[in-house]
Amino acid sequence: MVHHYPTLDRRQFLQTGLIGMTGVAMGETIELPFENGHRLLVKYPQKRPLIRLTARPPQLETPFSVFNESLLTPNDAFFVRYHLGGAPPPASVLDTTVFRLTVSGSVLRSLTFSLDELKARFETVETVAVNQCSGNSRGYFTPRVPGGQLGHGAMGCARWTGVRLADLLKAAELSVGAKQVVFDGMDRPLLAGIPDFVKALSLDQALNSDALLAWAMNGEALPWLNGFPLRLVLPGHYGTYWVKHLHSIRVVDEEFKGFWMSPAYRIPEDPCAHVLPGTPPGRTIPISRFNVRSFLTSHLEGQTIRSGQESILRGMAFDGGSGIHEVLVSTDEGGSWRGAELGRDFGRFAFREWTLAWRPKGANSCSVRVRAMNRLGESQPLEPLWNPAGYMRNVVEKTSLKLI
Amino acid sequence: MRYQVSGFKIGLSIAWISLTHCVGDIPSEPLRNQFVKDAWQLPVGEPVLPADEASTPLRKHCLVCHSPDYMTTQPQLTRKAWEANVEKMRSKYAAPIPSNAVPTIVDSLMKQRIAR
Repeated sequence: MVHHYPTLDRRQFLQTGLIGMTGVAMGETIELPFENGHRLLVKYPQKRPLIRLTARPPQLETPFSVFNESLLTPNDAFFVRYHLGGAPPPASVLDTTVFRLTVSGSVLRSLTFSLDELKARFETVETVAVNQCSGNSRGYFTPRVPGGQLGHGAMGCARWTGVRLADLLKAAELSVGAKQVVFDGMDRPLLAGIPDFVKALSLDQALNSDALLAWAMNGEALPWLNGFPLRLVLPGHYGTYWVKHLHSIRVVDEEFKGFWMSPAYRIPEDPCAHVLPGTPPGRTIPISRFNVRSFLTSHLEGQTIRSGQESILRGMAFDGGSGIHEVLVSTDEGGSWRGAELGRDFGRFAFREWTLAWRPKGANSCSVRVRAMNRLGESQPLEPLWNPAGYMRNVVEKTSLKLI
Repeated sequence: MRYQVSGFKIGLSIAWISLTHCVGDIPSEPLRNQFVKDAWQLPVGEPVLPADEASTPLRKHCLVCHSPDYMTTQPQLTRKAWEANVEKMRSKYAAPIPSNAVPTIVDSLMKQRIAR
């Protein structure tokens, strides 16, 4: 029997505490399971009420229960992450009748496209891919680290429709000296001098046919807060590269050194991107591909389950693009592991569903641990790894359940 | 002085946004994808700091770019960690915070933390 859950973890209505609110009246709230995890659920345009991390610029997290609704994350529940005080760009500058994408810099032919021209000129392709914030699950780091204190909801999986970045770059023809491709969206800093949100990819990353310039997710135009009208989709890579409201692609002959490539969004140069907890990293490199993660979605932390009755455990796993090979589940504190059945394969960049029948025994409590392995043989650590920016958490997660 | 210069820049920035609004509002053809521009409004309001922070450097220098929940959702951080964050905003992020305002800002950040 598959358990279904309410869309939101309903809690009592709470009026504001220390921090008063203006304009936003009483709202539903949620407690993320770490210290200072009290959050408001706030409704934004084209979105259902989502966990608000910050108001300006908007940063919204998907309530975890949404991940059990469907393998593809609904657009109205997909997380939102902005960096600049001036974000998101106002609707008026995103009007598709005036929108233009330019390709310039170290190319033989500079190009300009309207959205329609882009659609007409290049082959339209679709990819199901996970987008995940570098700092997803940062709130669980111990010792805690500064930054956006996210639960597990800064991730989502969608079907993206667009054209290949590689096709565009081929049409523009890279110059011999081309080294990186630089992406800029229409979100702007509020003050002059504050670094604009600009990201760079190596030629290898950019010319990889996985990268898309996407105008649709899950069959609909991108929501405003997810990058309307066009965004970069870099399957298998952290969301920081998925530049929203993309309007400028510039090819450069030198390594791009903007703030958002260095010092921001860098990880320790170590195969597991970690250092000893509480210590600074030595050499750092730009964050790039996802590590392996897996989650139980059918049962939420603290939920009650019937002893002696069969339940179906369900969840999903994903990685940086090799695809999920195996999902193991332990219901005895990691003592033994059973292989789960994998669901439909939506491609190597997608959430992969897993299910496992389980008849819990005992009287008080139990826990479920999930551990995935990808096709490269990479897996998840049993103990959490740490880095000072709180990136790339991928420990085997444990969900505690009550038995009755 | 540095802050006044920045105030001027804010003015310019707002002027830019307004100009762009005018350009974007020229009606040429309906937006594709059935988007309704009028619906694209962010919810009004954001968390506000307690009244005793109404005119402190925290409010003056930090809230220009982001809402107070950037600070109030943080875990317990040491004074050193907050100092490092303010310094990062100044040196790496070009935030127009005069150096003599930093200790007061850090005081406020520590107080927000304790008060919560």
